[in-house]
Amino acid sequence: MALPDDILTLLARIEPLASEGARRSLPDTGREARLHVLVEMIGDTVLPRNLVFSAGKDMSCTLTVASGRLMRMSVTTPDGHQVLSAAAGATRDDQLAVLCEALAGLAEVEGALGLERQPLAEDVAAEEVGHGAGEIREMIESVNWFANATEAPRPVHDGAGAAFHASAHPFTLAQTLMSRAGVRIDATGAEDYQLPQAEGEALAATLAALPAEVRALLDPAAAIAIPGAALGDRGLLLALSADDLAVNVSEGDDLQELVRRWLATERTRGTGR
Amino acid sequence: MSLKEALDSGLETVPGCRTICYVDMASGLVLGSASLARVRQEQFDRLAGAASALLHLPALSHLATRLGGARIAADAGLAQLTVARADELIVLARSPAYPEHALCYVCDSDADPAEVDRGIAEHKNKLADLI
Repeated sequence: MALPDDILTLLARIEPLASEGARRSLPDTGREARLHVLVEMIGDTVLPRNLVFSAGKDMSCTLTVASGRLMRMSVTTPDGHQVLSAAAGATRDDQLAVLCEALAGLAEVEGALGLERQPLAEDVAAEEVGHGAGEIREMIESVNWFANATEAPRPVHDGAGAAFHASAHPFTLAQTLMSRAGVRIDATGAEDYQLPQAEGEALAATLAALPAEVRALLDPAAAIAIPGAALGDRGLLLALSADDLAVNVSEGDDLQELVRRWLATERTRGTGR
Repeated sequence: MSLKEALDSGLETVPGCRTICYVDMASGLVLGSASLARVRQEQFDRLAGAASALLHLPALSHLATRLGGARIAADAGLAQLTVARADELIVLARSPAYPEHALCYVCDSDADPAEVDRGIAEHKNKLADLI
């Protein structure tokens, strides 16, 4: 007996949902930038989470984070498994240095890092003091963790949308940053969710051709958030500034976080004017 | 419940909401409105124009399909989108019963986007039988 069409349609959507789940990837944006993104993710994580990063099938690194603090860090390599915060030196500063060095090592892994966020029981935060994102940031800024390596510089974009672009990064599956004419400046994340040059130019032309009163609504800066039409769809946020146009692809509640961050960036820009 | 009462209820249901209007996108007419303060007709017309232009914009539907994975019929357009500006959050949402009609919610920019979305979903549910 054949199943009704609406049931088959529903079943067809389950597989993509399961394959996407809470998994995503952290693109290789360069060691320094990725180290800062890692610290930012720690600072932005309020409810207890395990952030499990993976590279290849034999290496993984788990950050246990709550209330913007790094509670534990464990690394599994082909040589074994090590819980770093417990194994590190006697003082908190010693432990912090070991954790920062390990974070730098994680940031240095070539290619995209797999990332899975796993919710944890609420009492994790109460078990340990951990290290706050602020003190981690202070420590990583005090030492050149990549002294023995050289890195090709990434293109620098300091347009009006640059601050939001960086702030949005941890909450996206992919980002495509373009000029207002649609010329690609930078792209990160899964290639399937990036906007090719031709489509970027077409989008820019379409937005420029909107009626004057609608363009006035989007000037000088605006964000257009398009939620997924159904469970499992990805959400999009188009960020328009005087200098650039960015297409951010997110999943789940991250779209709302992108809107929050866009508004926060605008408030900061407003107070700085 | 009258249309006016239905729109008034949205001001209480949607956090930070200061203006709501119900528009016919085909004609651009504002069919009803509710607001905490007096709003000029030009502003309602601007909202009606934005709803019609953006919810029907093929480039946005194409993006939602291509990058978002949404399944949108060729001429259906988007069901809902939010325009965030420095001073306001504007949510444009198609009426579930009459796809050529749209509800436009204008909220303060310090309203939480997740709470606004939840409030609008609740308000649209309340109005399901009316619009």
